[in-house]
Order: sequence, then C-alpha cells, then structure tokens
Amino acid sequence: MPQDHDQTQSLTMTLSKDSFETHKCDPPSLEITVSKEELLRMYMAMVTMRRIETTADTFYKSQLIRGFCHLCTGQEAVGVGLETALTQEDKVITAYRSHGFTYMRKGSILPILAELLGRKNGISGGKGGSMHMFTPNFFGGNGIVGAQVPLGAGIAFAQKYLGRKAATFVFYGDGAANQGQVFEAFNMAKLWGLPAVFVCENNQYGMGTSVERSSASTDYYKRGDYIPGIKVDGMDVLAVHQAIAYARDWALTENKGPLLLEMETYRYGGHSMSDPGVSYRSREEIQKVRAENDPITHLKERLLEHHISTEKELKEMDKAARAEVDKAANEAKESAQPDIETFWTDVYKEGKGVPFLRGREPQETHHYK
Amino acid sequence: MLNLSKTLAMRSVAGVKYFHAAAVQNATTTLSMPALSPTMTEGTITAWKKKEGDSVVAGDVLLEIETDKAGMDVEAVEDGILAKILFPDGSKVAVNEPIALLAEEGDDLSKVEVPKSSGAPKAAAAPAKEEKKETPAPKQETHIQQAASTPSSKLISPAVAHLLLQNHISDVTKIPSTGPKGRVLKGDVLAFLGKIKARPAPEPTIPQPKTLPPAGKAASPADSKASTPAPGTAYTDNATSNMRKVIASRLSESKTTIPHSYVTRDIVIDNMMKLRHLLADELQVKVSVNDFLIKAASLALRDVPESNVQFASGDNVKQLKNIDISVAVATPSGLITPIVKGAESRGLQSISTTVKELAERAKKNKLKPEEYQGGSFSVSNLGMFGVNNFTAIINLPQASILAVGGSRTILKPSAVEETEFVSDAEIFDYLGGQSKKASSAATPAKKSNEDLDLIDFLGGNAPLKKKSTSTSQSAIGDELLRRLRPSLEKSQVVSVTLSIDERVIDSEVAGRFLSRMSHYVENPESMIL
Repeated sequence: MPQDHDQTQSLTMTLSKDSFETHKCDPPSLEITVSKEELLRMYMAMVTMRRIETTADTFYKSQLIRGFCHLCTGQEAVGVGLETALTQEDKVITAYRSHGFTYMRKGSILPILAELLGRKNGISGGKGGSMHMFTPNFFGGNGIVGAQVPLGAGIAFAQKYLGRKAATFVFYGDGAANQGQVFEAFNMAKLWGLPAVFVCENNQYGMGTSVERSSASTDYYKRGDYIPGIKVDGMDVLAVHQAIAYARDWALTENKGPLLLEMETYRYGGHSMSDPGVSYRSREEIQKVRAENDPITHLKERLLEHHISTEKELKEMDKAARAEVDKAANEAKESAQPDIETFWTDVYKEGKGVPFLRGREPQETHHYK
Repeated sequence: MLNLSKTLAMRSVAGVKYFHAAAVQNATTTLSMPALSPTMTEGTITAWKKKEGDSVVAGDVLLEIETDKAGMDVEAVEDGILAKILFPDGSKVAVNEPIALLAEEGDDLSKVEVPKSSGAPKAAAAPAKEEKKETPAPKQETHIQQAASTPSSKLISPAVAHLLLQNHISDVTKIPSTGPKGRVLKGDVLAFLGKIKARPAPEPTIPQPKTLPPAGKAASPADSKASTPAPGTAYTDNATSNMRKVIASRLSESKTTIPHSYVTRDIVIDNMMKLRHLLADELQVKVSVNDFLIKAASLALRDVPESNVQFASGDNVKQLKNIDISVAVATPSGLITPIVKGAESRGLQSISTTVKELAERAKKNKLKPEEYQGGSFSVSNLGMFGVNNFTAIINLPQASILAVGGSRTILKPSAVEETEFVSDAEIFDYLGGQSKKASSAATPAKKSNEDLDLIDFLGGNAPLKKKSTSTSQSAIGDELLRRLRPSLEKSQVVSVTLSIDERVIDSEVAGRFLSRMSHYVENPESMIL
C-alpha cells in the first residue's frame, strides 16, 4: 500500500482535556509525541488482541476451552498503551483478565491459544489455563482476587533491593480495590519508597456488582491516600500511553515512591464466560459504549483524522490480524495434548522435591526417579 | 452513572459514522450452536432476532436459545451481515452444529455456501413466543435497580427486574403477584408471559396454631389434584391441604424456636384401673384412661401453677388463670386439639363426654375456632397403638405438652409387710443347724406343717409332722417363706413424657408437676377432693 506519509515521522497530538484527573500530583502533559509507525502498531495490537479474545469466546462456546475464561474485550487500550510505554525490563503483574497482557508482554498468539485449549505447546505447557500465563517479566495470570497486589509490591521491592532500574506495574480491578491486602501493599510501597505503580483497571463492574454498589468511594485513584494518583481515560490508548510513561518516570525517580493510576475502562463481555453480562446491566448500555467509546474506534478516528492511514488500509490490517489469529487458532486446535508425565512436573524444583507424590486418588501415586 | 459518558461529550466524530472496530469478516463465518454451560449438549432456537440480510454489529443479539436449564441470548461477535439462517425458530440443534452464516458487508449473499451439517435438525414444538414489543427502554437504564418501581411492594428481586427489562415490561403492577405482601415473584412474571402455569394465590396468613378455615367451610384442599404418576415411578405427589400446611408451619416454628426439654415418668395405674372398672361395673359409667389423665393433669396444674404458663412475646411469662386442656384428636386431615375448658373443676364424666363430643365434631371439621384455639396444656395419647412412650412437639403458644404411651405390665417387688427382724442365724437354727450366734433365750420356734414340709424339701431333718392344720405362727417361718417365695407382683404402668418450654418451665417444675399428677393417678380417690 503506498503511503503518503513517512512512517517514522513523529506527530504531536493533543489529548482530550478529560483524559486525566489527579490527586496530590501534577497531571501528565496533554501533548503527546508519537511516531506514525507506533500508532499503527498500536492499532494492529489492539485489533489482534480483540481477535484473540473473540476467538477464545468462540472456542469456549464450542466447549474447546473449559473452566475459567475471563476476556478483556473492550479493555484493549489499557494493555496496548501500557506496553508501548514500557521497556522489556519493567515488570507487570495482573489478575486473571490476563490474555491481553500476556500477548503484549511478548507471549505470542499460538502459545496463548494453545494454553487456553490445554495443549502441550501452550505458554504454561497446557497446565495453567486462562489464569496462569507467564512470560519473562510478566508475572501472570493470578486467580485470587487482589492477591497479586502484595506480590507486585514484592516484585518492586526486589527491583529496588537489587538495584535494577525497572518499574513494576501492579494491576488490579475495581472489585479488588476494596481488599485489605491492597492497602497493606500501599503502605509498604510508600514507606519504603518502592518503584511500584499500582494500576486500578476500573471496568465499572466487579463481577456483577457495579462500582456504586460495591465501593463507598469510587475515586479509586484517590484511595492510595498518601500515594498520589491519576485517573486516566482507559478507552484512549494514547492517554494510557502518556500516563504509563509518566508513571514509569515517577516510579524510577529517587524518593518519589509509588504512584496510583486508575484506568477508566469498560468490558463488553461478562465477568467470565459463565456470565452473560446482561443481568446486572442493560444491553443498551453495552451497545452504547461500543458505539461511542470503543478504544479501537477512537484510535481509528485519530488515524483517519490525522491522515496517518486510510479506511482501506486499516481494513487490510484488520484482515491481516484476523488471518494471523485464525491461523494460530487452527494450529492450536491441532496441537497435541500434554504428555501424562508432565502431570507430575513443575510441582517442586528439580532435585529438591519429594520422593513420591499422591495424585487425584489415593491409589494414584507417582514415584520420582 | 457511567463516568465514561462524561468523556463521551468531548469526542468529536467529525460528522462521519465509522464502522465499529474489530476485524471485519473475510469470508463467510459459520455461527454454531454455542454451549451455554459446560454440560449442555443441545439447545432449542427460541427466536431469531435478525432476518437474513440484516446488518449486525458486534454485540447485537442474533438469536435466543434455550436449554432445559436456562434461556440465553447469543450475540454477534463481529460486525457483518446475517447471510443465511440454517435452522428456523423452534429447532433443536446439537452444540457446535452450524446454525447460521455470517458474511462481510458488501459480500454477495447469493454466493454464500451452506456447509454440510452433520445432523438433521429436530423441530421441537413451537415454544411460547415472548411479547416482542419494539418500544425502547424508557430511559437509559444503566443499572437494573432503577427499573420498574412497584406500588404494592417496593421489593423486586434482581431476577424479576431482569425479566421485566428483557421483556420491556415497564409497569410491574400489571403482573398479578402471588408473593408475600403482594410482591411480584419471578414465577409471576414468567406466568404473565405465558411461559409457565400461574400458581394459585396463597391463603392469607394465619396467626393461630392449627387453625381451620371458619366453621362451615370444608377443609378440603384447594389445590388437591394429585399428579398422576408417570408410568414406572414409585410415588405420587399429593397437594397438601390447608390444614396440613398450617400444621407444617406451626410445628416447624415451634420446634425451631422453642427450647424443648423432656421429662418422663412411669405412672402406676393399677388403682386407677380398679376405679375405672368399678365405675363401669357398678355405675355403668364409661370413662377412659385418658379422661383420668386429663383430670389428673388439670389438678397437677392447679397444684403447681408454675407449670400453667405460656411464653409471651417480649420475653414475658404469662401466668394463666384457667386450666384448659387441649386434647389431641386425629382426624383424616390431620391432628387437631380441641379444648376441654376448666378441666380441674369438671368431673370425670363431664370430661369424658366433652372429649367424645369434641372429637366427633373435629373429625367432621365442625369445630369452632374458640374450641381449638388457646388452651394452657395439651395431652396427646398414642397408647392405643401400643406405643411405649414418645415425645411431642409443643403447640404454640402453649408451653408444655404431655405425651402418653400405652399401658404395659411390669413386675415389681410386692409390698412387704413389716416383720420382726429375723436373723440369718435364727433361720439356720430353725432349719436344724446349730449356730453359735443363736440367742440363748430363743427357744426353737414352733414349726408349722408348712415349715416342716419346707425343711424336708431343703434336706433338713424335720421332726415328725404334726397332723394339726394350724396356720404358721412362726415368724421365722414366715420370714423364710417370704425370702424363698417369688416376691414380685404384676403392675400396670403408663409412661408419660412431658415436653416443656425451658424458657418458662424449668425441669424442676416439670418434675413436681409429674409428681403431683402421678399422685392423683395412683391415688384416684384424691381426685374427688
């Protein structure tokens, strides 16, 4: 496709006035400088991410994926905006809505889909499933609500202790925001000046409970109290990018301690695949957000507005993304199941374990050689 | 309200409506029957919400499907056109079977190929169609709890709210309600929509224990159709009668809220039985064991007023003035307790007649409410079935109930008349031995013939039997005989168990009550005082 612009050319755009709200700190600048190549990469990433999630949705409905499956359809801007502002050394940890993050943190499509299908070439060997995906510098993929926040604080502690120049981004949801251990983590992070950025991904509903019904204060960015906070429009990938870049600088600045971000976002699907998602909110609401506030649409508008791309080109990118994901999906479906021997591995560290391990039933015992 | 809508206003769309994001179809996509739950194997297509050729947007409802467990909407995952519907409304399709084809915008729909399906569709009976009013939701309801307010009862459950919203019912008062306090229940909404049969309105709440409907109205069950058993099943469901329902709720309430305690006693009824036979033989008056027990209980209540109490609300103990005994009567529709009022001042005959008359009317469901509501104490007798003893559940608002078992024969040591103490040594000597401890003053007692026979029997050396037939005068002999003869006699007892409400009646009080009652039964002549 002939381009009428230079891919590496940088563009300065202005974010909307409503992109940020702050608590005890200055907001990031509304002027963002980003190259056209980067923008297109962001678009491609979001479209691919969405395609992965819809594929997972279809797989689940065909009973190829079983168990838990939490999709982030609608929340793509958060995952993409995050990664484009980070380096590979920075650490990320989140809860179970983790497919998007896994993809962005260099977990490629085939291992992710294969993991969901429980196949050998899955990112966790087919043994982890939807909630336990890891890559170097991405710590999952955690099932217990809010449990990853103290873990994240610990990861940040390790970075500081080991003298590494890496920021740790600790994600949690609006439902987890009221958990006690989150505040314990806040305290320790602030007290010891850890290079941690706590990010509350507020998608308005904690399972089936709206934020108004669950939280006395829905200003999650203020909940850090002594930790400064910024509320970010999580449906605008550039705002997210800007905020993450700002937060990273903050965290890596000596003596500034942690920062709290709240990403205001929305999920179209239910909490998980077992939840239709319409019993606690109306379908009209979902469709309204899809129509007026979709992150991919926003970026598309921007790209078209600034003549970075054309409708046709973007359509081609959509198709390409879809083709890539579909190919991986088919490959994943054909992949082999894990060997039965792997049932017993990854329980203890090699050589440090126990002589034998009991299986699902008392008669099922495995003796390690 | 959504915070997102705040930022919405700031976005400019530049006047052009762009397509929604997400990938656009390459070629035709197949939509298969999804699995709503991990165990679902097939589903019924209730209704297609889009027609062939319609444009769909990601998130639009394409169709509704139903399983035996639940119904759900199937959304489009992407934008496109519904190119072809493979199974019509009402079809039963297996999971993963293709049910429709979706094409991209701009595709030539005539070229859409139908994939070969693996199984033939099974057309089920057309399910009840919902009202498909296209009126949009009244206002932008973002949260279900703001939907439909009800005048009759403010409460509607989330399930009801969801159904109302889903079916565009804005006025909940249209729906006949059968819930408590006029609440609209999920079943009411479903019945209103014609999906299930409406359930009959509930009976008004009854505050009294075991009330029957007012006199004259038969207590026949309002909804007494027994479901015909399917061939091969081992049971039938019988709808409960009103009375049964009341019994169920009252007794459950009683058992779960009252701290029951049980005190048992065996009452010897020999004397009472003698009196009873006397009355029957000499005076031709027939009174039952139960009548005696009622009388005895009433007198015991009089003597131990702490047992004639009720637990009143607000943690009060109500000291009752009257002694009204409720007598349990079995009727075809359940157990009922008509009351014998003022039992302590009635004679046995009066009690007997009253009980008989009340029982007869009870069996015909002709009791007036005041005849079975109230009472200070209940008596329930299962003796006629041979029951040894049992524990009964207290009838609210009373505080105790007496469970009477059947009479049974026991052996007990016979009444021993006082004799002079006779030592073993004297008996030994009497038998012909020579004990060292024998008192010198003792002369060998005169032995009667029976004594002599006994001594012979025991292997002793009896002096020659005298021919006289004088009865034994010998104290030693009597003592010996007494010790040797069987000294048990028969007796008839009845086991009664008193259940008490420990909040107001202590077990000590119960003990005293039973003690007094036993006294009256075992000494029935004291009942005429």
